[in-house]
Amino acid sequence: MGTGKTRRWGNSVARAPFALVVALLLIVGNLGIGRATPASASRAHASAGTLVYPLALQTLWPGTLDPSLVTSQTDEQVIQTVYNGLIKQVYNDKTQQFDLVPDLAAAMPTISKNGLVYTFKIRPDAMFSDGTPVTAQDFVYSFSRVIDPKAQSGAEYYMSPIQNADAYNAGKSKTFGAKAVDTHTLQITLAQPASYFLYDMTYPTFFVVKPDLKVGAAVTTTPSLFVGAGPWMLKGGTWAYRTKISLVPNPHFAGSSNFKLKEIDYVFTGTYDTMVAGYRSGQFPMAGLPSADVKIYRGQPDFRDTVVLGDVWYSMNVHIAPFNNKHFRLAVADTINRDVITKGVLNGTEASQTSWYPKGILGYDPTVTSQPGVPHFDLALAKQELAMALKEMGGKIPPISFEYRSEMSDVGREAAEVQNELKAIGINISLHPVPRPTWIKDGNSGKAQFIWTDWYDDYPDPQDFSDYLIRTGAPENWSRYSNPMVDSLFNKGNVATDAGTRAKYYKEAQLQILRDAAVVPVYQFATQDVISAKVHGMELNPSWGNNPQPVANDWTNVSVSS
Amino acid sequence: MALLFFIVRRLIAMLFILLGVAAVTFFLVRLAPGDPVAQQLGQHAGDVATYHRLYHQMGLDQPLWHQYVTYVWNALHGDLGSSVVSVGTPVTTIIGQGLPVTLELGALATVIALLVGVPLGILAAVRHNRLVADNLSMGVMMALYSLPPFVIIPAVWLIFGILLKNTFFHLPVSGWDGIGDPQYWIAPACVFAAGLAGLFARSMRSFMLEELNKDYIRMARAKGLAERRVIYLHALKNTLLPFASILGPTIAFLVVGAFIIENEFSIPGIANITVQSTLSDDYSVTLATTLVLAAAVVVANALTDIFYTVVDPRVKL
Repeated sequence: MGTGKTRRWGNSVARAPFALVVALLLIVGNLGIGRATPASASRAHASAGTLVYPLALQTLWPGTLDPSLVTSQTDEQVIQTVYNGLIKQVYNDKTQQFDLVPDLAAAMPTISKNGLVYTFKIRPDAMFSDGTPVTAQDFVYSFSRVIDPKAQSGAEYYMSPIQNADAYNAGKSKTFGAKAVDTHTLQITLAQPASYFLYDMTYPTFFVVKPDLKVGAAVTTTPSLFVGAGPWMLKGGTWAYRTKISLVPNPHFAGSSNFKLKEIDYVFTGTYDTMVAGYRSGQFPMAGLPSADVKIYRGQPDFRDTVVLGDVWYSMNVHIAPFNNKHFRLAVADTINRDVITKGVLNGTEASQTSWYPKGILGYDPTVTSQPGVPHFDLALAKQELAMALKEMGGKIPPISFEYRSEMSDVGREAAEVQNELKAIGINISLHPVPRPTWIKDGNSGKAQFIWTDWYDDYPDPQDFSDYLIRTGAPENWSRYSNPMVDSLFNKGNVATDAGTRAKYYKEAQLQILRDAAVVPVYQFATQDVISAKVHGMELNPSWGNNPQPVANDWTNVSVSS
Repeated sequence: MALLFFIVRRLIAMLFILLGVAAVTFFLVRLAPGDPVAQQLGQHAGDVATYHRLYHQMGLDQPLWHQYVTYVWNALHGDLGSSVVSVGTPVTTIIGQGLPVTLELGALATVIALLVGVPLGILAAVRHNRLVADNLSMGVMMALYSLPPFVIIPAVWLIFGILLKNTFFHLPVSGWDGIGDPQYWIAPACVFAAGLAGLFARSMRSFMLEELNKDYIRMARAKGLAERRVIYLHALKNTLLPFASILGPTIAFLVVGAFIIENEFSIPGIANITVQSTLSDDYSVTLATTLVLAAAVVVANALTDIFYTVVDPRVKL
């Protein structure tokens, strides 16, 4: 075959596929891109009156939308816009504490002299978004859903202060300490006085649901069941499952007619990287920043930074060698350089913490390390403690394994830093990354020797950082620490009614905890976000992680300009 | 009639395959370290009484064989269990919602990949060793095939999401609004198609080159047939058989989608749920998605076999 013939048939044959490819690109491009501009206007955060609120959830949908089941902060974010309870928290910028104010309650409750009986008057105008009045009996029913033995709830812990709640949950009692005195009067009786109880009540398990919402109802996948008395309600009574939840103001919520915001669109991203890309592209008006992006945005007008009520500490099991030796534990506690970890390894995204209680929790004391006997970064002191420990342990350090969560890359780098710091004084540890379920199982088993531990507040009260984390026998007391004096101080703090007195007890307990060195507080979580200048009245606050909240917990403060 | 018998045989075989896959997966996930109860309880997993109650409610305190028999019995009645991550949500709901989305995305990506890859492969074979038509285009296809999605996606975001913001070419970086709203699927489908197109182009080029060197093609040209007819009617037809061997399994694995693409573009398909379920010890979801994949592989292989008989009547089912 001649070259000319090749060229002729080559051209005619080649033209067809080439033309097809070009045509395809034109068609596809026109279909998608050509629609971008007019359609995107309706989706852009610049649409005045609509707040596009991105949430990072790998499954692209909340794990639950049932307030009786919620254990995740991201799920809480959506739930607390539609549901609400008797009281709510409001962050006070000046005191950096959370104040409690009535929500569906007409006023704060009256509390009996013995601290056991709380009586609430419910606002007579309180209604669900479908216009059904909210009654005291609705609250009783809502609480019972949480502790119903048939409920597959992991959240009944929050109801434990209520008389007989645990027995009810175990199927051993048919009643518990909540009763409707009349249509608008609710009485809650506690098993023992608990001055933290009102903070406990701000958790979603105390939100009211409609009386026809059965235990185990498929709220998470059935929009018609997602009905509350909160400030917002489902737009059109439906949602786009695993894509978007659109909310409009609940007309029956007091003050909703004053909302400048007309719609909230909760959208879900698989990762924070997607969220940041969405922010940069204008698709989202705010985004939580992964640690790698913090330095890019720090210092810019849209950057936000706050500590949150959660922290990290290292638990040293006081029953497993070498941590059964107090000098050894003090040596480790004196070696950990928190600032290198937070400012270096974690790029300034978390805040060093030396006290047991994090900043924002009653009992927090930034000067606690100045007290005698409290460990703090001091290598000379660490070596002295280690020498004493070695003398008592026969000169040998048994193998040490530091366990931490494998799926968190930041924690991996943190663990490597801990390994280096301890090596510098002669303590060699191996690193043991494990998946989260294994980490939890090992910690709970009491067999973890040296383990990274964390906690986020359920409610902003020191009791939440005491009874669950460090009291004798506490579920997340992974160091298996026990000191009756500390337990006694917790008991006093949990019932004292005056904030000053409570703080005194918790601070005293904290001092002893640190001196006993079963735990090494390392850092308090901080969160960084970007919020566009077009969004007004939304800010980070320490109780909500990456999720901005309306200022003063009041949606009338929020608006979006175009 | 032969086709009917073939389908019935394959359905019976599929049942046994699924039972086997279910058994292997069921026991493997439960033997691996992990704890679905701790997963559901979140940071309150240390609450012993609650932990044991949920453990019992989920049936995890039963012997493994008992759990397996219960699972199979329920599955045969359409109950594949509930998710732990999406508390109490039936697995059938999750699969029922996610699978069509993944299939839509996969189908779009396959169509784009076929429409780009196949013509380019033919062109490369027909203009063999030409700089642009063969060497350059196949180089690009190889690059697309080699580049992982997590490299391509940030580039797509940067160009079409950020740099071209507020222009005609702007595309959203996240979200899904069904096949009827192309602005959301253009980018992920093209990213997904990139690797597929590379595979199809390279494969088609090889198959076509092999056919073009055969005697019957030489005979067809000698007889004076138009070159277009020689390529598209004769050579291309004979590449369909080997091409189907690649296409069949590729389509099967589209069922579980591309995790990274779905995760990064926030597409509510089944792929990110599958991976999330393995990381979260969501046993029921892991099992169900594995069964879906197994069924898809069986169906895809059966369809490939049927396709063979359509293309080549000499092949018997």
